[in-house]
Amino acid sequence: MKKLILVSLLLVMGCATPIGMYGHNPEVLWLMKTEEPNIEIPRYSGDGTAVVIKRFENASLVPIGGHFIGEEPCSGCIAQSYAPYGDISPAIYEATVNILRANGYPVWKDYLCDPMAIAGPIGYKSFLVYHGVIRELEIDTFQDKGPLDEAARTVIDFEVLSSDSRKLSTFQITAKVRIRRGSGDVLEALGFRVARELAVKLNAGATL
Amino acid sequence: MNNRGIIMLFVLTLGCVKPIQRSLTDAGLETLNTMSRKAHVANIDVVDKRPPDELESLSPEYAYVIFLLIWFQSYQEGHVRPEAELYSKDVVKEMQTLLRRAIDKSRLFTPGEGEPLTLKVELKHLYGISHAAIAMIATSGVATSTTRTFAPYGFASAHVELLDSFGAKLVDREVIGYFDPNINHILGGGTAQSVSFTDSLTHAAVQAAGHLAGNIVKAIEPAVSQYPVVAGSTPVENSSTFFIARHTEEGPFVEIAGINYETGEIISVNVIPRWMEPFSGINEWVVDPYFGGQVRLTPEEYDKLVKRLQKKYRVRYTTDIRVAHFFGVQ
Repeated sequence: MKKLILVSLLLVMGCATPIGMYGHNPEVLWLMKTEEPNIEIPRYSGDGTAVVIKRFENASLVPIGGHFIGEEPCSGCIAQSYAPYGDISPAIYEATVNILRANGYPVWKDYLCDPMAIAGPIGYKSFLVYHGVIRELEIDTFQDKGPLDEAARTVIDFEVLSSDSRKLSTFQITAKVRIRRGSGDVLEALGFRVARELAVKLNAGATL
Repeated sequence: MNNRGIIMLFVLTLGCVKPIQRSLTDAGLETLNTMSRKAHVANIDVVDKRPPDELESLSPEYAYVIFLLIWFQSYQEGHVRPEAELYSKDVVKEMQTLLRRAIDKSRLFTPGEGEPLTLKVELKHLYGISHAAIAMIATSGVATSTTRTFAPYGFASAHVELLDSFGAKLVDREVIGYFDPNINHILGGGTAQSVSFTDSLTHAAVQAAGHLAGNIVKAIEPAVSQYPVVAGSTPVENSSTFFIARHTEEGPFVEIAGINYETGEIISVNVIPRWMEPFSGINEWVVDPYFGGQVRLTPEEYDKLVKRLQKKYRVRYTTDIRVAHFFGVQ
């Protein structure tokens, strides 16, 4: 009986997925394997339609504040990490659009997000607009008696608009990543994954 | 101390000291600082759409309890959140007051002048929260308790619409506000000192509301740039000085350099807190779309400025369709 209780206790302590802070369950991130921050995305093979990607709005509930890590590294010492000042959505946005452009995708940024219709990129008579709103964004730090890992997950809702602001379609992207701390910027790494998902859309036809 | 006393220790810490009753109107405010437009917010409508369970308090739940003769062990982990009433007795009225303060502080609008606008705010979330883990072991009259709490954090979000006098939506978007005591120290705010952990959570909620109010004004600013500036037309076409700006790596600041158009001489360099939403990547010098951090230029005004600068300077639209990068003298 004592052995049974002891074993049960050890099982409970060792196998439980640590609960994330502020209402989030990081099972997805916890179970991920550590990967390299930068990844390759396919070269552009779409129909040449220019796409203006507006700066991502951040409507997520995930805090980005400072964190508290226990004094001893343990699988239960989870904390929200990554505390840059101000907005964090630009970090993901920058990485996403930069990696797409680097691979030949005809995409441009629109940081200012004027509510009125925009002129579009020079040299293009017609173009589409992608308006992304970050619905979920989770960032976690994991310790497991070794080097720290950082992980992040996001869900972004996109609207595809015509150049005169007519709504054409919508789609959603989910992306997640886990990297070794110090190997790169976790939000930038997340941007790479968002770019990979967008690349699939752009190569299939920008309005889909 | 008996086991029951140990178990109640954390609850007592939270619940026995009478918490401070706060008000959203005490929140610190940080918002824009720009030239006034010929428009005013005639009405501010706030609707409370927070989910009912968000109004209740939360405390750590037991993951396990082991009780064997003289051995007692327990582990609690979970979120800690005070009752919503502690940070606001009347969230609609207090939020309206807070928004009016944010609007007045920004000087973006001119009271009673120009286009009357309506600001509609649907409050979706507002809370102060933390996370705690409590491990207790008691045996043979000896008890140990380890408590780990995370920093309190405040969060607020709202759906915002700005309508003109014809009812047309100028803005229709989500806005968030947050408070992290580690990074939001510049907000300040006049809330009373925290006496207990509950007070630190309600303080975080109130400050998050203030951050939300400031961000709502920042979010509607682009739509208001279509109305004329009260002081007259923006001095773009014939100005002897133009401005380039870059977002700094070290926090939400913008470095702005004033340059004499004719000579190319740098005549001023200032670093200001970034009161507007981001307009470029970090460390990229661009032609300042806010003309020295003063007022947002319309797309037409900005384009005229860029064309004028291109006569003497290397200015190009590269990765952004609206903001041009500055590369120096030709």
